[in-house]
Amino acid sequence: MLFTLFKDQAITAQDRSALFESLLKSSYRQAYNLACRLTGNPAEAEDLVQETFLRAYRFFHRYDEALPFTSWLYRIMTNAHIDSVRRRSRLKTLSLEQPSNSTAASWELPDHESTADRTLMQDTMGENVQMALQTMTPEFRTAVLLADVEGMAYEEIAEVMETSIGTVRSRIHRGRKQLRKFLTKRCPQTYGGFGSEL
Amino acid sequence: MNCKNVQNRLSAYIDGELPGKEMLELRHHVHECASCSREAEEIQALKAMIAHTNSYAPPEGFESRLVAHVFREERAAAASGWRTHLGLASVAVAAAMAAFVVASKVSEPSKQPLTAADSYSSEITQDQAYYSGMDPLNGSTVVPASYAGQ
Repeated sequence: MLFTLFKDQAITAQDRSALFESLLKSSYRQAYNLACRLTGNPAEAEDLVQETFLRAYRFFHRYDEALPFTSWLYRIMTNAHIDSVRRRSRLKTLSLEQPSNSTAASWELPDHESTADRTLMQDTMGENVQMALQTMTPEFRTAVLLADVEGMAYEEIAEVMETSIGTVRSRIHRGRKQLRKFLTKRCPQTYGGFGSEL
Repeated sequence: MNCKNVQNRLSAYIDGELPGKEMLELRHHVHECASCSREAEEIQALKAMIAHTNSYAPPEGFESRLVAHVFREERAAAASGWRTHLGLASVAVAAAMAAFVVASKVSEPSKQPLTAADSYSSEITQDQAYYSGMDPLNGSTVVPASYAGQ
């Protein structure tokens, strides 16, 4: 009887690992994309994704299957990202006054030679938006990215960020305002229209 | 409804996150007000810009590194557990075998065969006891005293 009990527990643990591995494989690409947007740096994004999945696995027994796995995962990632930004004062934030010709030098991207990295670096618009995102607080950045990149509803974002819908609305509004201000100052030719009312 | 009040809610309006009545009010105002209409277009353009910038793909080999990282502790613990169990099992089997061997030795009856010398010696002893008038098996007198010497 004792042997059967141990055997059952072993099978459950095995199933749990297999289920988590399967969820990991189906969601890590999306998680990596969001992590890159949040950190603005592929090396930090890798660390963030690893930390997120590690925490998720440790607390997988608490996962409520009624919630989409990615929402639960993003909650963990958001907390890990905000913790990390707060913990490390050496976060690379870019000043609004920084000269525009120092873009490539100041944005420290490891040379992974991946197509995605090269494409992003070549894409001025994406690069400027990404830089603008890095000037924001992690709370504002997360709210804007969850809304605009992940296409989440405010209610879902509130659940992920463990806050109220009113706070989410305010963060998105103020976050977009900051983005427009940055882009207008940095690239007036391209984004001249932005922030005219700011 | 003033423009400042409208512009504070434009992001939520663009995202379709306002209650029905407010949505209608803002739609009406944006349609009528050139300044708020331009503001709404800019927010929409920014939203599209953020959404449509190229996405990042994970580098080569990231999946296997991630899986190894996440399951590292568990797999190391499992391997260590198996080694411990295997060691304990070996010790237990060795101890059981030793105990069996010792028990076998202790309980085994002595089966040393009698030699021919032992057999003769025993018969001579028994004969001598008989001739002396004693039953060699139980020590009682074999020949009654009244017949002694006849």
